[in-house]
Amino acid sequence: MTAVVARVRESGIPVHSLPTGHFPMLTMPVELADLLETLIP
Amino acid sequence: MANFLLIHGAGTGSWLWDAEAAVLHERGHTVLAPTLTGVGDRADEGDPDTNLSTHVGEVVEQLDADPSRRWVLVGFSYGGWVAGGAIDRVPDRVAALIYLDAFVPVPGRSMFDLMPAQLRDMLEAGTRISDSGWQMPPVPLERLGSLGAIGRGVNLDQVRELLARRAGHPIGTYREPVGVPTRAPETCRASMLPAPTIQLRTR
Repeated sequence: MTAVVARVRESGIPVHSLPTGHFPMLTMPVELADLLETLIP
Repeated sequence: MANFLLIHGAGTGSWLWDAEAAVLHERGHTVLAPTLTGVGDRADEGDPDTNLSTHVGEVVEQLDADPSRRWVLVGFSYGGWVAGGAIDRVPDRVAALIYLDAFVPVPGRSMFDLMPAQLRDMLEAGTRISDSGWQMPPVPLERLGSLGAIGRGVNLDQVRELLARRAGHPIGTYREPVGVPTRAPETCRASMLPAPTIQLRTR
């Protein structure tokens, strides 16, 4: 994953951190919604 | 308020987003979370010709339905591959592209190109013996763990319970290369939210 993230970052796409948890849309939807809203232009 | 279009991962469906969509909807956002052809409750609508172009076309249709709207496109896992293909078709319709623990398209490559050969061979073999002959069975979670796709510290019992609804997924979507630019258009804000537990092989 490190290589993939590095490649994505090199392509100009900002990389952010997910809240802890493997399937955040299922396990922590509020926290994920908070994060998604910060990424709205 | 924003317009969110949420794209599910392989073998799941719009149900994957139920909790997330409810939260976003309560906050006043418009949310669409379509189930793609040949997956979930639309499994019967697929066939051996269902491929990546099929799914990209469905998302493009949603994005393009209302020219007055611009969308925040969120792709989870396989959904990232679809999102990348869609934004290449209708870049003006997408205000932001978010890869959520997702496969990020590599021009000219297929999903299978980025997977470990062991996993690809397992999915091909599983498809050959499936009832339909064109749907990949869900990868057993224990198998994903042994392949390194699920890392340490993940509670497999919890994940298994969450994803017990997983079903088949059209293998044509993994075989067809995507032809998208690596860079998102300048008019779109792209972000990646990686989970540290997914590992991919790059060439």
